[in-house]
Amino acid sequence: MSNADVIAIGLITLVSVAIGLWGTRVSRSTSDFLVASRTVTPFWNASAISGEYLSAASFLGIAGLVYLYGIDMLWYPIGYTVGYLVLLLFVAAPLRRSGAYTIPDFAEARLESLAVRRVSAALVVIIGWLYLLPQFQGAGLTLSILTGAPDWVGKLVVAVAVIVSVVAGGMRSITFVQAFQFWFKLTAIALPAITLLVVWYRDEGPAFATEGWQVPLSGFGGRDLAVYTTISLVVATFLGTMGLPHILVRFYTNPDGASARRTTLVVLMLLSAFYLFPPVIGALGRAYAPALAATGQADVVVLVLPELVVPGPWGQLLTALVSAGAFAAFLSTASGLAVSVAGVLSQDVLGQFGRSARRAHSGVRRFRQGTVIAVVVPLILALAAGRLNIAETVAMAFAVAASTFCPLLLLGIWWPRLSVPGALAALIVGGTLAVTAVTSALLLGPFTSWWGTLLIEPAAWSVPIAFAVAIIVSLLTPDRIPPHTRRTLALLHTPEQLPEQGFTARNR
Amino acid sequence: MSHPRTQAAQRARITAAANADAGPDDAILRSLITAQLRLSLTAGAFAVGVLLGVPVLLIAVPQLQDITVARVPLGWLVLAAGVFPAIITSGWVYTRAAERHEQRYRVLVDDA
Repeated sequence: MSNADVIAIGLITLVSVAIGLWGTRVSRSTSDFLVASRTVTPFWNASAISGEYLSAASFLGIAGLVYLYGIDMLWYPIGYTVGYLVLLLFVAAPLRRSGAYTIPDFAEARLESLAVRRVSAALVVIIGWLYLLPQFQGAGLTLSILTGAPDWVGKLVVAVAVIVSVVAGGMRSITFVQAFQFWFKLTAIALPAITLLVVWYRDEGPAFATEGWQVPLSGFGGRDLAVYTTISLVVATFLGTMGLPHILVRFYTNPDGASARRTTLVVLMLLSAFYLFPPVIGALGRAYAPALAATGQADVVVLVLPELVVPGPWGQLLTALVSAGAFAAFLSTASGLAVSVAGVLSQDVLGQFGRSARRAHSGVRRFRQGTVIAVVVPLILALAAGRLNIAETVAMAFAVAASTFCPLLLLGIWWPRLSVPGALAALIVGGTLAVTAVTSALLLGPFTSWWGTLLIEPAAWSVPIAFAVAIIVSLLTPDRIPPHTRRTLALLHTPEQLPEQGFTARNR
Repeated sequence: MSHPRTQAAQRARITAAANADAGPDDAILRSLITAQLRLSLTAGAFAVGVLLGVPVLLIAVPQLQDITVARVPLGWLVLAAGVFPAIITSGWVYTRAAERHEQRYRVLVDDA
């Protein structure tokens, strides 16, 4: 490996931190989103959403899984994309109209209950931590592969960079920065993938796939319960995306429900473009470097393949590019998550102590304390845990989101009979089941028996249970339906008046 | 520049006022919600049907697994690339239809 990789990583890290520092002057508070909402088009907003969304799991994890287990792993990129289709169909426009800034905000407004808000806040923190963990893992792995440094170095570098940029930079980097991150990541994955593909065709490279690797649901690579895990993955990603803590806040930049829909549609296009490339690298890795499977470190296939297939300076350049792209992925997702978790921690947890001192500067201090807690806890987990499969760990965060916020959002938006105890019970039961399952899989695994598989990918059973609990408890407590439910639902579903029509409507 | 929650609250008041004094509006809104939900469910069912149909077809007709296009297995090509246009198309058709529903709602409310 060359020094170019280290320079590229250092550069992208410095740029990210510098942008965070510079962002202090540009974006100070949530009101900037309102300013932005008048100038940011769906295209740029969608780029920003995609930039924040594409994490280590997308950049490294998918190629690694495809490399190891073959065609069934294509459900990861499909699921990560279809999650936005489901969000578009059922959530985007009504959620924007709710005016909620975070999921706890939505929960409180829709159910008129502080208890639902608090449980939602706790779940945001848990999901955020679960999602941050593999970002640190990916950073440790990347740096150790490229430089031979121990894993903890990379984990620490990303954690410190995130804390510095978020604490110093304030609430959130501006839309255009995240938008730039998307286009950078797309370039950093597309250029190596296309180069490898061209070389493969030109040189008549090794045959595409081994037997079984390309047969759906074959359980290739020693996967148990291939049908169950595929269904569980589909449920988790399709239904979990809407509940990710760092996604919703970006929808606020849309001026109205209709533009929230158009933004989501563009997100679908951008993600579709990005997700064409990681599987190409995974598949060509299988063809060129089948020996990598034995090392158990398939997540590095994106990093090592370019130089393996294209020796010389061009290969080194591609490695430097993917390394920088990978770090851009860790940093942008991790900062987005840290901001969301820190916001919830400072508002709903730290804010509970000493509500009397609710001045602006104490709010900023709480936010900074929240940021440190938000980053340090998953960092400790990442340092304690061994090497985990990145995309699998991220899928756990999706499973928890799907088991909790998906019922809350879908039933909250579309079902007038959702009651406060119903929502609470769904969040608590779904959250407890999913969190217990994935943390025991993380801490006690890897399991070899079939029930271990049920714990690692719980969504197929935990999501239906959460929905059933919400519906049954709500039907049993019809007197606890929030009093303003009809008005709230009207607000969620009434299209905004066009300016001139609003005028005529008022003078009617 | 007002705070987001203030704006939301204003919108809520406007909507509530519209609902309180206009009976027909409420019925129109309820029919809009029903239409939107039905549309979303249809679009979702279409996309999920297409997606799940691919592996089912590949398993049901194993001969398909032997077909390769430009040295790449067909099933691979469909799942890694071919499904994305289907996802985008269902999203696009849905977005247009949902906006049409809302336009119709606006016309109906103005007439009411």
